[in-house]
Amino acid sequence: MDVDLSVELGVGTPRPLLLRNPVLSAAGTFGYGVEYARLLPLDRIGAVVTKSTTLRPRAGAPMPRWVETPSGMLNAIGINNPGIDRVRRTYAPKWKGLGAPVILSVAGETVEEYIEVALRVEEAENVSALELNISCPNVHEGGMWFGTDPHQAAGVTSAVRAVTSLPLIVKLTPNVADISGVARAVEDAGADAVSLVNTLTGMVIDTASRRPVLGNRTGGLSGPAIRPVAVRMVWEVAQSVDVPVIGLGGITRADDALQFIMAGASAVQVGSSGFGRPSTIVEVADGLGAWCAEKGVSSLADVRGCVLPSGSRCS
Amino acid sequence: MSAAELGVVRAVEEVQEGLYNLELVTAPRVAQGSAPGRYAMVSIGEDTDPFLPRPLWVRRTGDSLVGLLVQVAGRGTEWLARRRPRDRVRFYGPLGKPLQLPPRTQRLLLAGDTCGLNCLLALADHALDGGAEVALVLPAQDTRLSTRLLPPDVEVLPGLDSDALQWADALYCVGSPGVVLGAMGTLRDSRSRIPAYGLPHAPIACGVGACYGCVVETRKGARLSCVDGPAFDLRELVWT
Ligand SMILES: Cc1cc2nc3c(=O)[nH]c(=O)nc-3n(C[C@H](O)[C@H](O)[C@H](O)COP(=O)(O)O)c2cc1C
Ligand code: FES
Repeated sequence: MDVDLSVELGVGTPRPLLLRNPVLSAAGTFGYGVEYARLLPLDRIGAVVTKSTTLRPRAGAPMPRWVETPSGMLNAIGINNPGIDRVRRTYAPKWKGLGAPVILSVAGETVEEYIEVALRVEEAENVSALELNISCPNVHEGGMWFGTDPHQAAGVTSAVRAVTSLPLIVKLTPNVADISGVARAVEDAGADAVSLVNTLTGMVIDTASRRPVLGNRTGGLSGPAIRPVAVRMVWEVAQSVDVPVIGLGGITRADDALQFIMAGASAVQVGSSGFGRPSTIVEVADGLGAWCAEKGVSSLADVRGCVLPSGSRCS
Repeated sequence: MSAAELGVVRAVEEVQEGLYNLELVTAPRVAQGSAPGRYAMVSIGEDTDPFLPRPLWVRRTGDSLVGLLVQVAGRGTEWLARRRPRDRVRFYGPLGKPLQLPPRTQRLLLAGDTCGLNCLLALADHALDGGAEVALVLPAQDTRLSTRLLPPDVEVLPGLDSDALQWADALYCVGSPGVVLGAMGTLRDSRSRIPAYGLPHAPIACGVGACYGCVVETRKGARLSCVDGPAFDLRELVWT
């Protein structure tokens, strides 16, 4: 049977993005896509989401930057990246032949920085959408993360919305009491989709040296260890917003991705499990198609949100 | 190179306490790609715990044979040490820039510890093939390593000193940051001017330059060990 896995982001915007399937890479775990171009058939995934990129180059956090944890890892890379201008010069020209559309993840420390970086992306070639990483400290608000406060999250979203014609995805942090409130705030501010979850804040202590392992002391937890938390949050957010929800956190195979879809996600992202097995992202995409064919499901829309309470906004 | 390689264990030998030599039968492309300085990202177990692969130096030992040298240091390396003939090991690679010996190297000095040994052995094979003499400096407790591991023509020395540096026309030091740091000091004190390279073990998570987790500081700025290295000019490494 014919299975249609395609999804569209930014419906009704000037530059809607049609994805061949709903499996994307997660920001910060897939570089700028070109690193995997020779290793993987990228024409079998939905899109590449890049490393979060800032206005200026960023040196990032002190080493060590990651440590393995039970079924996961804790990282504090500190958004080490070459800055938007170098990304445009060195990577953007290569995205044309990549095989998958590129969604540029952007980050900043002030609303002005987000605006400036979005403006430069607007002029960049071969970028199909923006993902706003708002799990960043706002230096004008005492270092409080943009993403932990609905007002700040909405503020940065509407500021970027005003300057970009690209589909705008806002990536939510799970380190909040009410993630649905933040999701509603960014939807009202003009987000075309929300992605969740970013990493959960954590710490690992080396008892021999009596110090935190990471150079940054704290870091973000990812991998299968966080999957149930992520699925629950997607399920909550899908009940609260009308825009598409992109689910991620610990996806290692198609069945994990299906959990997010059944919780209401329209698309998923694969992050740190690609380190152990780079082909994971392709296997998840292929596996979703195979699952649909086997179950006689012609589109994932048939099962999307099937565990949501009836009458909720996403069906 | 493909994203999912499989090795079938042909032999496992404990060459000294806690140090295991694993011989894997692989696709010919893996053995062919296993130049000195290259490594594989080896998956541990079949489950998600342990979660991350272990970077291990690969040494080509045949047309479709590679050797891994596993120094047991934790759960991942313990799991590898328990493999038995016909067990399967999943990995990807080989990755990393192959080492290029300086032209006309005649007397190659190698230094390191058991974690860097497989890279040093691959380099020794390469240099011996090219007709160079090779000396290997290991920590005292490792100098009696099984002769089945070391090529017979390699002279083993108990310590890196200025005599050894005087003899050599190139130096490579591979191992834990401490060992590489020690070699930096000896080199500086000796005022030797030979080409010298350090391959400090960095925490490799992705191996392809995608995660920014493996930074090595040099006088020319921060570099990613996995794609800019693994070898750096020993005189340019900066310890932070
Ligand atoms: C090494 C590493 C770097 C990351 N860098 C970023 C980043 O730059 N921007 C971002 O939005 N998320 C970043 N993340 C978070 C991931 O995109 C993802 O939200 C998280 O890892 C959960 O997904 P996973 O369990 O599939 O890895 C990073 C995660 C890891 C492990
Ligand atoms: S190990 Fe990921 S960038 Fe080097």
